[in-house]
Amino acid sequence: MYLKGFAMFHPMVLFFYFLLVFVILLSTLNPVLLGVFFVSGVMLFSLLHTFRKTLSELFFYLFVWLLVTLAIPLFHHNGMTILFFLNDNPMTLESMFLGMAIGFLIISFAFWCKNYSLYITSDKILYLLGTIQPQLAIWYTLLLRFIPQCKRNFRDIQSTQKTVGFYATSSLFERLFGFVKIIKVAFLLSVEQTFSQIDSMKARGYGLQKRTHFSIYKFYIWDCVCLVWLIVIGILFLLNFKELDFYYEPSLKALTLTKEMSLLYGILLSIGLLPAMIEIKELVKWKFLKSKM
Amino acid sequence: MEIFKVENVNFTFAESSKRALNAVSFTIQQGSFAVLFGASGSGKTTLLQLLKRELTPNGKRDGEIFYKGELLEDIDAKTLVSEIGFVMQKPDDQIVMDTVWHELAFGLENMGLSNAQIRKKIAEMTSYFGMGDWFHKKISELSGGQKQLLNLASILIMQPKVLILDEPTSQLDPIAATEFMQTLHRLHEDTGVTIILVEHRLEDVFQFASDIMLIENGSIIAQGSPRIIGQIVKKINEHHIMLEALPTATRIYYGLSTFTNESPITIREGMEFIGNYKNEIQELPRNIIEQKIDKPILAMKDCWFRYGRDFPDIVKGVSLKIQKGEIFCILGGNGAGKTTLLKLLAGQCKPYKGYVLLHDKKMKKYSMEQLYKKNIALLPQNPKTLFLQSTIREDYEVTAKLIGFDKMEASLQIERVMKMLHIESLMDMHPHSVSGGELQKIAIGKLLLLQPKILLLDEPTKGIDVFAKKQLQQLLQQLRAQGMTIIIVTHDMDFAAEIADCCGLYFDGEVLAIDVPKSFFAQNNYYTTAANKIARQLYPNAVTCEDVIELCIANGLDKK
Repeated sequence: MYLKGFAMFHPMVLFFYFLLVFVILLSTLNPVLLGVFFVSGVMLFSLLHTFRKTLSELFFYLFVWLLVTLAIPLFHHNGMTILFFLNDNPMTLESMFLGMAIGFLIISFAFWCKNYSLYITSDKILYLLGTIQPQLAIWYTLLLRFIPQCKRNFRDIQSTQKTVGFYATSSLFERLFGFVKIIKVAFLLSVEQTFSQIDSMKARGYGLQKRTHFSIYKFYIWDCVCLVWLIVIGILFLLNFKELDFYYEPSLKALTLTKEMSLLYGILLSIGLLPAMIEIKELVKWKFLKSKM
Repeated sequence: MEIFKVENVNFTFAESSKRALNAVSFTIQQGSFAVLFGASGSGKTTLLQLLKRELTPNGKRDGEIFYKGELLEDIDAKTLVSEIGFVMQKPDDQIVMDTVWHELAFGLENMGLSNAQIRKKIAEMTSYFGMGDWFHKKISELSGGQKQLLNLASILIMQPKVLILDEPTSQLDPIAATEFMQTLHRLHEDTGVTIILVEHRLEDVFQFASDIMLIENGSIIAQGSPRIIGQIVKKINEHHIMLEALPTATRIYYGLSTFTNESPITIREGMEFIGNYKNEIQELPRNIIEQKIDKPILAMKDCWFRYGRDFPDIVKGVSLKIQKGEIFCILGGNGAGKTTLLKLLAGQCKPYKGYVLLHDKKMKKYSMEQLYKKNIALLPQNPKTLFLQSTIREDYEVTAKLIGFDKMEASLQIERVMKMLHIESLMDMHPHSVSGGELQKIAIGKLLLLQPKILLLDEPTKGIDVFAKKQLQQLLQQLRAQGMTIIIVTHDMDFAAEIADCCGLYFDGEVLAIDVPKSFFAQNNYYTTAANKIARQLYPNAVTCEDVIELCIANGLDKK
């Protein structure tokens, strides 16, 4: 766990950030906002991965996008402007636009999810959970260690059992039965370990009194600034939701780019680009520092 | 001042009628380093658990335990939790959180300390143990030794007055185990914390201990300082099996006669003591069994192996020949890839270059059935993975059926294996509930049902006591006499020196220095048995304790 760039923000701030992004992204199908979050999501992803990786991901999602764009008009026939008929079903311009928009929504969402999982790692989830419900956080941790342990036991037992002729049968039923048996034993072995962990918890005073919750995260001034900024934007978004919301049917909503609206889009763009900007700044700063040294 | 006083304690487990502890009385002084030893199942762990109130098992206890002059039951729970720390046997089984820093904080969080206080204590602890480099790591990235050190640190952070450890090094390799003991010693010297330790391997710990107790069948039968405990045990029984557990220097000392002085305990002291003997005879005449150079039963030819395309090579061009009927030991450090090598020999992994020959036929050409029925059997590092049924008998029966025995034959074979291993009393138990040594035995029993010609063993001495080790040794020798070929991967040098016909050192993907144990160890200066280290100035070819004792007797004392 090495914290740098955008990840240096307090987990709480990061969590609110991604919450806000997902809310804005998923609550409207506004083409401008879709564009904003598509571009910023891909940009951030490309900063955190190699060029090759970004390209191959984009390539994959191009197919997803095509699929969605073509599929939606096939099943969805609302809309004013009928282009042609396919199997007696009208194909409309509006549903094609809707298809494209949903396609973009899916891709943007996928990229933002990937970014999310890079920043909000399991220990940050644990921390957030712990501040709300410390008891729950501990059981969650035990579970986090239980599952890989179970998998490891399963693998070990399986490879051992192969050598004592366990799978040397052609009957599918017997194989299946054996498989279930191995899962059972792997599970029981892991449970044994969990019991011992519970002993170890008791031995260190778990449950004697109210626990405190220790973390290595600190709340700095920039966290505060960022949090306030996020709240302001959240409120702005809610206040202007009516204007930002977009519909495709029966006919496309007209996009009016007034001065205020342009400003609002600009502000929302700044939210999308925030992590990417910080990562770039970090890169440039270190390059600069290095050249001075 | 006495910190623990145990008076006449008896203990019976809830579900059993036999007493696990029987009239145990002893006192432990503040600041002492007490070591408890004894065979598995003698009640060591139970005794330790009684001293740690939170871990006391269900059962009936009478007698009294005093902590600092007060009855253990009367002390407030919070004081007790932090003042008595307990480190368990298996490193993984006591770690609760998933990162190092959080594990360190766990106990303090339970005590309700503030963030700032915890931070300070963690900083202090981490610096003391030099854990800075892996402070941010996930538990799954740590080695066994690091995990056990973390366990120690996360107990110590609560500032205990007494530290109780239950075989903390039994799952570690010798190097990590020695390091752990040295850390414990430093801690004892630095802080004066009282230490109560249960241990099988006494070689490293004797020199640090102030008090030794031997426990047998639930009673403490001998107690004394490290230098005289041998005498006390010898008075009880001249050939007590637990004498074998003492450090090599002490064993040589007592093997030579009934000395009544204080015994040497370290290697250096052992060397000094042996210095009194002449060294005219360097080697004893022994009927060395001539190695028949036959066609090897199992051979490896230029084998290369890695776990995946992007992984490093683990086996790098190994060529090996194993003769029929020999015991071949492969030694080497942790993580060197010994287990992988064994898997290649067992046909569990396939080399990407080179081949393995079994009876002069390529391993690839055997079907699973041909390979594992009456040919090769592998004892994995965790023998528990061999058992799927709820009793050992049931498991044996299923195995016998798999191999194709009919009912009569099956019961006959099971009978034979049972008799050979003396495991009649265990047959109706659950395979996971027996002790380490017993588990080892029933696992070998199961493999013997498959009637293998070649038996492969992965770290068979891990976590078992001297008694079980002696039994294992006898069993393997018996199997060899029946013509079985045995390949053992181990880091237990003393075991290898006692049992092997041939030793090889596995290092950096290669098997180096294949030789008979005598020359194998005699040529090494550092990587050698304790007995050899003690005797090498006088008798460079002596590698086991018995060798040294016999040579000393043959040479006689130097009168000068």
